[in-house]
Parts: sequence; structure tokens; C-alpha cells
Amino acid sequence: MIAAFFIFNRKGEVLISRIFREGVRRNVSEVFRIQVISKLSDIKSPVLTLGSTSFLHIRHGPLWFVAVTRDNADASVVLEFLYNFVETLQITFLNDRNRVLTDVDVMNNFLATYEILDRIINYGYVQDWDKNTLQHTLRSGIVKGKGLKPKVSHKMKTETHKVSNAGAELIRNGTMLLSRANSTMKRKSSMLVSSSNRLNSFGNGSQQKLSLSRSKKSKISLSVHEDVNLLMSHDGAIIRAFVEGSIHADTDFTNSPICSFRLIKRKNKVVGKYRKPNNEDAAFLSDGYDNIIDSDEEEQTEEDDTEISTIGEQSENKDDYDTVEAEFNADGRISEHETSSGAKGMLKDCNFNNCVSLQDFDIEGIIRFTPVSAQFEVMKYRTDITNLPFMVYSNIASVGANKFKYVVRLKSHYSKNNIATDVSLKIPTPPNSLDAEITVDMGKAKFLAAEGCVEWKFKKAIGQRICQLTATVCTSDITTNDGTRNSWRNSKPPISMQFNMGGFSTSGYRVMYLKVEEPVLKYSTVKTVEYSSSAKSYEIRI
Amino acid sequence: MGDAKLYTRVKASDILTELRNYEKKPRSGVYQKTILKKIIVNLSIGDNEVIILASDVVRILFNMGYEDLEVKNMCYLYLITYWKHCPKEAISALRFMVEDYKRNSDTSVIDACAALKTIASIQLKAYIDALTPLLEDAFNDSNASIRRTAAYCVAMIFKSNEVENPGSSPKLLQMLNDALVDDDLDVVAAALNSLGDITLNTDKLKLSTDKEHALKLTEGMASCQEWCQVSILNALLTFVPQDHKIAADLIDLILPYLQSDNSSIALNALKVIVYFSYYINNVLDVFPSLPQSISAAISNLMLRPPEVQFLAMRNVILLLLDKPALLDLDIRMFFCQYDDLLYIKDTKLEIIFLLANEGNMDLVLTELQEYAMEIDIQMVRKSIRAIGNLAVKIEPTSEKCVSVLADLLSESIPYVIEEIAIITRDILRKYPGTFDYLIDMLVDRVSLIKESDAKTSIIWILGEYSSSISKSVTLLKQFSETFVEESTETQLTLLTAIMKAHTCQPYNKELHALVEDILEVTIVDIDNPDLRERGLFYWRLLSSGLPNIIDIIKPRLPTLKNDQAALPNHMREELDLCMGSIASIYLRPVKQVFRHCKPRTLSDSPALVRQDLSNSRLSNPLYNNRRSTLYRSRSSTLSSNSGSFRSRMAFTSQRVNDLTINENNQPSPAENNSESHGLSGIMRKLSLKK
Repeated sequence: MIAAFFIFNRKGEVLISRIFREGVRRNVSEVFRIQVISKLSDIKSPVLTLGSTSFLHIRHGPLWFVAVTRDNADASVVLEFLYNFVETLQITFLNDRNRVLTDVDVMNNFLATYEILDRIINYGYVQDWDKNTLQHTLRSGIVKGKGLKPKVSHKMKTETHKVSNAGAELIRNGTMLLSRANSTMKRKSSMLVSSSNRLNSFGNGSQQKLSLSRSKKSKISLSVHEDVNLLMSHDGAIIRAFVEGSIHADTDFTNSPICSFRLIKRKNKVVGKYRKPNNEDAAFLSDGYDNIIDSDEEEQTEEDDTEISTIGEQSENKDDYDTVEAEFNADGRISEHETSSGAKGMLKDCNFNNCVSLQDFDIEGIIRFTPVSAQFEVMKYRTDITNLPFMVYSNIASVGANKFKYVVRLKSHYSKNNIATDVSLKIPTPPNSLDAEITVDMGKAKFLAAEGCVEWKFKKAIGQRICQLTATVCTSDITTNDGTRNSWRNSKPPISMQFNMGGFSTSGYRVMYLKVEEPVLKYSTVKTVEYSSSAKSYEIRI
Repeated sequence: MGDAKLYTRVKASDILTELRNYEKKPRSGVYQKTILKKIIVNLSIGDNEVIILASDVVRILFNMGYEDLEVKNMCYLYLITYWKHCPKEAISALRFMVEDYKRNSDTSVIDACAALKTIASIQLKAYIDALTPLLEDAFNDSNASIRRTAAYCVAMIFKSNEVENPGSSPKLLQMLNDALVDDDLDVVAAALNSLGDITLNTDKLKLSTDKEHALKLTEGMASCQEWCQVSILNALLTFVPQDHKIAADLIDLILPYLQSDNSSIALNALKVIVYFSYYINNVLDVFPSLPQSISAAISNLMLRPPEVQFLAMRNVILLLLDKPALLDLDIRMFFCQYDDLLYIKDTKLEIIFLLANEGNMDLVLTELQEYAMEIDIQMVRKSIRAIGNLAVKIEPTSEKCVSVLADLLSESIPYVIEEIAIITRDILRKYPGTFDYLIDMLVDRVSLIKESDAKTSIIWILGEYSSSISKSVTLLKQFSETFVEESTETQLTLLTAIMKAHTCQPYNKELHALVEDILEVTIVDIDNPDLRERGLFYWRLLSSGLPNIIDIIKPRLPTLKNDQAALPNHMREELDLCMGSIASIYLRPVKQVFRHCKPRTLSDSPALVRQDLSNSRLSNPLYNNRRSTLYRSRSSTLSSNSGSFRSRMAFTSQRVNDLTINENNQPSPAENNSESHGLSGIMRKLSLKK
């Protein structure tokens, strides 16, 4: 089991060291610093075993969290503990699990860190604790900090590497680091920032008291957020397309009622077959796009119809917010059983907060839970998708010795009622590009030499539209080194895309039959469900 | 203002002066507390000079510890860390801690637990003596947290207690045993952990769980919190089912936990399910949807942070090697993301290799070809190697694989060609005569090959197929020009290759001269004994005038077989019981990674069935055998060296073997004569020179 625990900062200095078991010397931290931290560039595995001492580490912003074991410890326990520990520190020190801890936060609260550690670990074994309420029982004072801007996806790891190269002198100065990190991370942060705003309301630790006390109105609001992942090959075939959904609950209840809902998929529509038009420019431009749109619109209306018929009683379902009043009758139950078997079959990859009864989901497909705190994540799920919100078609041809011609088309595939915001595309250019002449029919585009890409941005993107970008990229004349030309021709980073969409669930899953049962007080509850989608990794190979 | 400003290394003597100054004119307690914080900071940083301050720390504990909880915690931390170096001071603090526990046991559970833990951490005789009565009290406490802490304390002091007062050990164990039937499952889980820990380190004791208890624990798990569930799942491994039914019942109860949000619960549930499946006849008939459930759990794990993904994937590899029938995975889940970490990409590639079959070959090849055109050279090499190994592994689609390789070859990128040169050797051996066009393509690009391994491989090819390659002699000659600068491996291969070429074309003048030169160089100029001996060996062989010399120098190669098990049976069983642990990352038996650990074994029982789950149950019977073919990649970091070493060993041993069994393929006598004639001629010349 865990024999020792360390927190290092980026320079490899120990901030926290705690030894739980005999047999570990204090200077093992040196070993880790030399073997792993100083070899930052090639970390071959998160586990390093030397002799019979193993180091398991995770990275969190500028910090390294390291657990040392002396035996064949359960790595899953150790890693899960490290992540949960970080989350606890985030909640306790930053009040926000989406911001990143800095070494200043840890140093400011080193007593509390030790205390939390001692509370969680008993002789190297992890024991249960409540992330949200732990801070109220701590004996040590806590200095709240701001932390760093969040980075949600592990994609940012590469960026952190860059930041770390940016200069060690920045380490002590959180704010400067923030600004520097911003500029490096800007590439992907547009979506992340907004998503953090969305989630800010969940992380507010000071409000996270169990709402067992009296409250005037009881309410539950679920927010369904889906991170869309897409990997599409250059010829338009979908290699992988799935969403990672998560459902957060924000509750305000008297007593602890039992809540339940089902996730049901809207009738699945088949959106046009994705075929990339021929490589010839002419064919590419004249391919029957209009037809595709027409057929889509038909499908769209069809789909809207089915949506109304499924949801039935609710009239406001076209708004961004679906207000679902609790209306249950015997008929609803019966029809629900038919659909649920299908839905259950569809939604297999999901995991739940501890308060959700796993058996009920297994047997009946109902997600039933008793809220554990005011705000928490009820479940996560993953499902493949067939209807993509955006399609990107690209054609890159080399014209002349040092020129590439780009034609990129973006087609929004959702209904006209929906709007995507903060849409941006990064279209990579050859490594030695000098300049680009760009024309776009919508949005704004500019060439970013430092990042080696053309960025194409939209503040808003309406559904069922086609936008086109044409660009001529000039590259510097490197004829001597054939290798670079080759490698660009053969391996290009993909076009990556960011977007946010409110009121839209990409997978088509909807929360249905949300029900709150309180046997004693029998009150009625205000229920809201909110949907949103954003791109996590939306990549199209070129 | 936080405490970050205190984070500097301060000399212990300076702290001491500060303390003395304080004593002269006492100011507020805050000042003393700040000094204490400085001590703790230095302790954290690893500056052990602060040991000299022990007596002062204990004094502060007695002065302020009653009122200020922060101060108390800091002093406790100091003593836990340095008790070995200041036993006298530590013993003087014992009184405080015992009082602290007694005072708080009714009012503040948290402080009582902290006191108890601190006493248990300091393993001096006085402390252990004081702790034993406290533990008795704690086990009878009404509060579950205190009982839980007490359970861990037993494990903490057990080892030292053996030394100090061996008489009391049974009493401690009895207390723990009683805790196993506690009403609160948290306490039970703690006792299980504690007992597990004690038994892990001694051979005398063994923890086992009976049927009723196992069922009770499993059923009670639903009401537990996450880490408690982990402990219980782990403890279930100590239960040996005596009949199939109980094992099936338990699997049924554990199945939902595969979907837990906590990756540790999911992996441990998987481990327990695999363990119990050893005690069920035809587990897949009892639980037809088991592969789907497991695969769903894995795809959930694949969405977790990279470290967890990595761990999950290593265990997927284990399952794929051992029991692919339990999995029903979508290969696309493991396709690499552009910005995945290197070790994630590596592991994904291994899994793709294992999952590839005739059915998904087109998909796999397109994907691998994509990786082969990445910028990251390591990734390129690995994916090319994977394509080559697939060609060897799956016969029906070998043609597709090779055509992909040919496609890549046409790009003329040096490292691509080098890697293809390496794997072509295996492909040619596996399918003799089928893909000779690969040789031609390689030979055309031979000038681009710089790396030693690749050179060795291409030289081997030139030697083995010299008669069918028109330029072989010229090329061998070219290589031999830089003979002296090459690595030993390449030199040895080149020597052998030239010999082979010569035995095939004994009348080639050019070769004749080449053999002469090279033998001279190896015997006269080279200092490396291995190489010189090999040269001398060939020289003696040639001069011996044996009739069947070609069988010695260029024996018919045994065809490559790819059904050697990568992991022996007993090792797989052991690893199944270690799922999710560190050993599962290395896929090595526990003993090999951790010398002091007791390996886990499957306990015998009437219900134990060692069934064959190596065939995946795909609807198409065609794949059935393919999927089971085992894996011989060299890409994982640990196995890489030993892997290539093994193959080298195989090569040499083949040669040795063939020396003894050369009656089987006698060449025609005419050839033999001409051979020995040509060879002995050279030998005569050489000996004359000497």
C-alpha cells in the first residue's frame, strides 16, 4: 500500500512529504526528482519501479503528486486516490474543482494538506471521506486561493510542457504564470473558459452544505453536458465519433427524497452519408451540397415531429430549457418500459455517482438516487454518435513550388433553431509557412504564424449553413532539406475544431420521467433540465 | 496572507536562536506558532537539521497543544517523523497523547483518532505498551471511526509488537477478528485491510473468508462508500468457493460494480469476477453477457485520465493474452488520438495488434498506415513493426499487410525503410518465396539504410537470398568496405552472409575474393574475440573439406511459428489475481518485480476449473483460431530488450541444432564436391599467406 506521499513543484522541490510506513527513506524524493522530473521530456510510464520501490505519479498543472509503494500495491487504488486527493484540495483551497492548483496554494495551506492526508490515509490504506464537507472539520486554517485557469482535457498536457519551458522564474508568481499560460493555452481555451463558467456554479464549496435544513422551495435542476469527440479520416470516413456526457444535479430539498429519471434517446435520425467529394477541385466545389441540405431539412422536420410526440405533454421543449413537470400516469409507465429496454440497450457505457443505485439501473434502467449534496455529478456516460453537428470538408493542393491552396468547407448539420457559439477551426499550415491569403464567406480568419495554422472563427454559427474558406499559403523556399517537405506531405496535424452549443444534446439522449419522491412531506418540486454540448476533441485529418 | 512565505530553508540554529529570544521576552503565542511552522516547512523540504529541536517541540506541545489544535497537529507530525532520532523526547510526549485521546474519545472523534494514530505510529516500547489498553478501549467504543482507526493501529504496531512483547500478539489478532463481524462495514473493511496486511508479511498466518461472511460482505457493499467497497472486493479474493453456485451468485452481485465511477472499484470488480470465473464451469454459458459488461467497463475506463487509461490498457492486454473470450471490445476505442501521450499511444498500438483479425484488418491497416506517416519517429517505427508482425501473425491477410508496407517503402523515407528492412526478415522467413518483390524494393533503397539493426537485417537477407538477388555480391562488397566500423552484431551477420553467399555461388570470382578479404580482416585485424572465433570457425570449416558444408553454413531454416505462449500458464493465473496492481503494469510475476512479496495463487477447491477461455466467441468461426494466436511484439519497454535478445538466441540455437540434424536434407553429391573444392582452394591460399 501507499508507503509515502510527496508533492513536488515544477522545479522538483518537495512541498509536502509524508511517510506512512517503515522501509521508505526520506531521500526517496531525490530519486524521483532525478529519475522522473528531470527527464520531463520522455516519461515512459506513470509508474517507475526501482528495486522494489515504485513511484506512481500524476501531474496537475505545475505540481507532481507522487505516491511511493514498497510492495505490489493496487495501482488502481493509488491512482484513483491521487486524483481524488487533488480534487479534494481543489475544492478545499480553491472552492472550484475546475481551477488548477499552484504551488502557492499548497504552500499556503501546507498544514491543511497534511491534515487532509492524515484524514484520508490510514497506514497506507485509503479510507472514505467526503470531498465537499471535509474542509468544515479541518483543524487547520485554510487560505483560499485562485489557482490557475482550468484545463479540462488531457490534450493540454502538451501545452503545459511548453509552459514549463517558458521559464522557471515564473513559478513563484502565480499571476504572471497565468498570463503566460494563457497565451500558450489560448489555442484551446476558448471553449474551456466558457465551460468553466458553466461549471463554476458547481464548484462553490462554501455553499456545499447538505441542505437538510429548511428551504422554501424544493427544486432540482439537471444539467446535461456533452463533450463531443470526433476523429474523421481525410476522406470523410468517421473513424471515431462519440460523446462523453455528464449530468450534474443542483438540488435544493427538504429531507432527502428519492429522485429518479431515465435517459431516453430520441428517434435516431440518419444524417446524410459522409462522402468526401473527389479530389479534383472542380468536382469538389460543384458537388451536390444543395441536395444534401434539402434532404437534411426534411429529416430535421421529421425529427422535430417525433420529438414532440415523444415528449408529449411538454410544449416548451423547443426552448433551450426543457421544463419538465412531474406528470406521471399509468400509461407513461407502460410506454416507458418499452422504450427503456431500447434505451438501456443503447446506453451501456456509463458510470454513476455513489449515491445512484446500480442495481436499479441494471435491472430497470432507471437512474435512482438520493442527493448526497447540493451539487454533484449524477452520472457520466459515453455513447457513439452518428449525427455530427459539424462537417468539415477540406482539400489541400500544392500549386507551384512553394504554394498550397486550401479549400475548407464547414457545414453545420443541426436544425436552424440551434446556434453554436465560439466556433473556431484551426487549420494547420506547413511548418515553414510565411503568409496566407485568405478569403472567407462568413466568420473571420487569420493566419497565425507562431502556431502554424489558420484560425477561422465564428461568434455564432446558425444551423444548416455552409461556409467556405479558401486560402493560398506561401511557404519559404526550403529546397535543400527535402525531409521537411516530405514530412509535411505525409503527416499533418488534423484540423481541430471548437464549439459550444446550448440547448443541444449531440447524442440525442434526453432526460425523461424525472421524478422526486418524498414519502413524508409530499411536496411538489420545481424541475429543470438544461442541455449543452461542446467540442472536446473534434478533429479531422487532412 | 498564507504560509507560502515561510517556505525557505532556515538553519536549525537560527530557529533555535529565535526560540531563545522568545523565551527572554515572551510575546504572543502566534510568534511561537510561526516558529513551529518554520520547523515543519523544513521537515517537508527534507532538511533534517531540525531534529535538534525535538525538546523544544515537545515543550511547545505541552504549552500550547491543549488550546491550539494546529500546534498540536504540527507537533504530532514532527514526532511521527523524527521519533527514531529523539526517543527520549518522544517518550516524554506520550503522556500528552494518551491524555489527548482520553479527553477527546467522547467529545471529538477526529482528535481522538489522530491521537490514537500518532501513538501507533511511534513504535517505541513505551508507546506500544501504552497503546494496547487504549486499543481494547477503542474497539469497544460506540463510534465507528474510532473502531476503524483502532483496526488500522493493530496492523501498524503488529510487527514491532512481535519483537517487544510477543505474548500479546494473539490478543491483538483476536480483537481484529472480532472486528470482522462488526455491525459497521467500514470497520469490517478496515479490519480486513489490517489483517490482509499482517498476513501478507508473515508466512505463519493466513486470512480466509467463509461463505456466509463473503456473501454478507458482498451484499452489504451496496451501502458502503467507495473505498470501503474497494477493501471488500480485495478481501473477496481470500474466499475460496467450494461449489459453482456460490461463485456464480457472487459474480452476479459484483457485476454492477463494473460500472462504478471509481476506476479502482471497476478494476477490482473485474479482478474478482475473473477470480471467481475460475470456479465456475463454462462461465460464459452462465453469464452470456459478461464480455459485454466487461467491455463496457473498459470503455468507461478509457475516458479517464491518461494514467488510469494506461493501467486499464495494461490489464486489457493481460486479458487479451489470457482470456480473450471475456472481452468483446471495439477496436476503434483504441485508435490513437493525435495528442495522446507517448506511453498511451504505445499501449494502444499493442492492443490494436492483439485485437486485429481477418475481419477488421482493413480498418486496422488504414489506421496503422496513418500512424506510419506521423512525425514522431518512434511511433512510425512501432506501427510499421506492428504491420509486419500482423503479416506474420495472420496468414490470410498477409498480402494486404505486405502491400501496405510496399506502399510505405515507395516513399523513400529513411527510417521507414530501415524499419521495414527489419521486419522483412521475418516476413520472408514465414512466407518463403511469396513476397520477393519486397526484396527488390529494399535493395533499390539500400543506400538509405544507416541504422545498425536495419543493416543487419538487410545483410542477412542478402546472404540468405543471395542467389536470387542480382546485385547481392556488389552490395555485400559495399557493406564489407566499412566492415571495421560496424557494430559487432552487423559484423557477425555480414561475415555469415558472405559465407552463405559463397556456399551458394562457389564459382563467383568476386565472392571468392570477398571471402578471402573478410576472413583475413576478422582473423588478423579484429580484436573482438567473438568475431575472431567466428572467423576462425568458418576458416576451419572451409578447410575441413566436409562434403555437406552448405548444411552447416546455410541450413534450411525452420519456418517461423507464432504460437509460443507469451505468458506461461501459472504466471497468467498469478497475474489474474493481481489485476490493477503494479505487477499487472509490467505483466511480470510478483516475485520478479517485488522480491519480498508473497505471490498469490489460486487455491484448490472442488469447484476449481481451469477452462480454456483463450478463444474469443465471435460469430464468425473463421476468426476463432486467429484471435488466440499469441502476441510477440517487442514494443513494451520492459520486454523489449529481452524480446530481441530471445530472438537472437533463437537464431543461434537454430544453427547449433542444425549442425546435428543435417542428414535430413542432403544436397546432391555433385554440388557438394564443387563446394568443397572451391572452399578448400581459398583455405589453402589463406594458410599459405599465414
